[in-house]
Parts: sequence; C-alpha cells; structure tokens
Amino acid sequence: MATGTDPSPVSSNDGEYLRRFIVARAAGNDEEMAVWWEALLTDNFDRVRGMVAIEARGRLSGDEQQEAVQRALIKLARNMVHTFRGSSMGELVGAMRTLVKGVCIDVQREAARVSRRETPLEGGWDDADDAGHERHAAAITRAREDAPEEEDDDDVLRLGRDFLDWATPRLSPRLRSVIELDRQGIPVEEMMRRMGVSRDVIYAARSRALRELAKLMEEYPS
Amino acid sequence: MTQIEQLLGEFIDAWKGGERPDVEAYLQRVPEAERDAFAEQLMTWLSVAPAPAYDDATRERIAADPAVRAAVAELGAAAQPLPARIHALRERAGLSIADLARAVAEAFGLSAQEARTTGYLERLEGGELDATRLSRRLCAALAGLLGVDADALAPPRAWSPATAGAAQALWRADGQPAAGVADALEALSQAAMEPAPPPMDELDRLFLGGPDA
Repeated sequence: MATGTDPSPVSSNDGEYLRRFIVARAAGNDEEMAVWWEALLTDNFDRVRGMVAIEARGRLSGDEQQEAVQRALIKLARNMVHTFRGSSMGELVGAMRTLVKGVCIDVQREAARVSRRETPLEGGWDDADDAGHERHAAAITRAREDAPEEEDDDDVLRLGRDFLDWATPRLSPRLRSVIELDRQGIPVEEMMRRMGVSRDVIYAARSRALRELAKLMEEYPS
Repeated sequence: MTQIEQLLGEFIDAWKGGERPDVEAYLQRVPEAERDAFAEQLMTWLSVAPAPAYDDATRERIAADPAVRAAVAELGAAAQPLPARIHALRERAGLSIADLARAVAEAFGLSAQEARTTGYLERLEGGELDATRLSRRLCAALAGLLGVDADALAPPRAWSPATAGAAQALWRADGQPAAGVADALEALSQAAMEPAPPPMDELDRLFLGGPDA
C-alpha cells in the first residue's frame, strides 16, 4: 500500500493549468484564459488523438481520422474556451470524450454523403451503446444550449467531478490502490515497491480496475 | 496474465512516462477478436488518466504538430473579447459594417432600420455597448452571417467577480444585511424616482435587451 514517506510522484500539469484558467475566467481575463487553455490543449492532444483512434476504429479511414482530430481540436480551441464551465479535469476530459464522439459522427456522415454510401458502416454510432456516455453527452449538450442556467452547469460539474470520488471507493482496496497510484503518475517500479507485488499483479489489477470503472460509468446515477 | 493485461499495462506505463504511446499501434498488436475489449479499456484509461508529465522537448514537439498549431491559431482569435471577435470575423469575411448591418436588418425583417443597425454595430465593435446585453438571437444571427458556430459568438454572461463579491458580502452580513446594502437600496430608490426610459423597439432589444430578448 502507499506510504507517506515515499518520494513525490512525477505529477502532470493539467490540474494546475486548469486552475489558472478558471482564475482567469473568473476575472474575465481573456488573454490569460487563452494562455492556459492553450497549455491544456497541448497537454491533452494525445488524449484527443487516442480517443479519436478508438472511437473511429473501423468506421473512418486514416485521412478521416486525421480530419476528426483536427476538427475536435478546433472545436476545443474555438468553442470550448468559452462554453466550458467546469472546474475539474474530470469534467474537461468528459467534455473531450463527448466532443470526440460528436466529431467522429459528423466526419463519418460527411464521408458517407460524399461517397454515397447507402448503408451505415459497421457498429453504427446511432446505437446507444454506452448509457453512461450518452448521459454525459446529454448533460453537456444541455449546458451548451442553456448556458445561462446555473442548474445545467451544475449537472455537468457534478458528472465530471464526482465520478471518480463516487466510483473509486467501490473498487476493492487493491484495485483502488492501483488506480490511485496510476492517476498520480507513480512509475510501475515504484508501485511494485510500495505494494509489495510483481509487475504482473499490477498489470492484471489495472485491467480489472478499468473494466470495473467502465461498468461503474454506466451505473453512475444521473 | 493475458495479452490484453500485458499490453494495457505497457500502454499505461508509457503514457505515464510521457512516451506518447500510439493507440492504433497498440490495438494492432491484439488479435481481432479481442480488439473491442482492449479498445474499451484504453478508452476508460483515457477518460480517467491525468495528462502525462511531458518534458519541455516533448511539449514542443506536440505544439509543433500542424493540428495543434491550427487549433492554437483559432484559439487566439476565439479568446478575444466578443466585440473584437466580431470585428475580426467581419474583416475575414470581407464585409463592411454597412454590409453586415444590411444582412442583420434583413435577417430580422428590419430593412428600414439599416442605418440604426449600422450605428449599433459601430458602437458594438467600438466597445461602447455592454456585450452581456446582446440578445442570443442577434449573436446567433451574427455567427451565421460570419460563418462560425453559434458558440463562437455566444453572448458573455452578466457575471463578474464584482457581482459575486457583492453577493458574498450579503451572505456574510449574518442578520444585519441592512448596513451592507444601504447604498444599493438608496441607489434603487433614486432610480425609482426617475422617469421610465422610452420603450425599446425590436432593434433596441436585439442590442440592449439582454440574452433572452
């Protein structure tokens, strides 16, 4: 298990960038907002690209995937700098996932129109195959449509901020330790030392923890 | 240990180490039959993972990616205050203020009000109007005419640290709010004694009536 005497983990900067963005947003300082949003955008490029690769798998060509990545980043830059009202990385990442899904659907539909495809590509996105994700998407959409309503912002805030707080305690102690150490960026060698287990045990626990988190996302109460 | 567990473990280690693992390449290493399950686990990780702690050189490489550069260029334009954004978009579209005013007036069936619309747009771009009082209808129409998503020109909220501070002061009054709000009540009393402003017409409402007008 983790101990308080271990060296500090290497931590990512995105939480700090987001905090500074929020401070600038509260002060109405557009220039500062842009500086920190750009830092967030840069640090999350690989996340967006990875999400597109997964979401578009078997549905978009390589060129179309690149188009989807570009569109997602443009929307993230041009629109979300104004429409994102959250205050945690969880909310931002949830919004990115929703954005990526929407962009991939748009790109696929446009590609289908151009190539006059008459049947949907395999595993069409029209199926509500991810209840938790759909719920999150609906909340984000509501927030964008009704931006002045604080209640809608609160929905989005709660979805992003509370999920891991809600879900992590539902994992077994070992899985919880693994996911918490992973989220702190602790190297696997250090995790092995702290937990007194082998790499194989950590890898297996990671996989199980992520499977359980995926299930919990679907169960997460709206 | 299964192959998925091994590859997922390697992917997460590489992610945390800032090595920028390629999702597509990892997916290709898994047999077709197991790829969906692996993809789902990768997506879950990407949905809960903190951004990696990139070193400066890596961050520079990311920033140099054409997709990131294009997005950052858009961000520069989008982060300007609304009047400056409208000005920049109008210039980009090659429209004069009179051109845009004509189109706005037509969009709202106010063709006879073209000159006044021009005046309002000039004041808006000049920073003389309170952008929080623009109607959403007007902002959406401007976005459409200037070729951007409505979100890009959404009216800013009428919220500021100043108003939040005033609200907090009220909450902190702890049973003695009168002293804290005496000035505000006095101002309200004086305002109530003044003659009512002339009623707004449709064009006034678009530019001055607030988001819901």
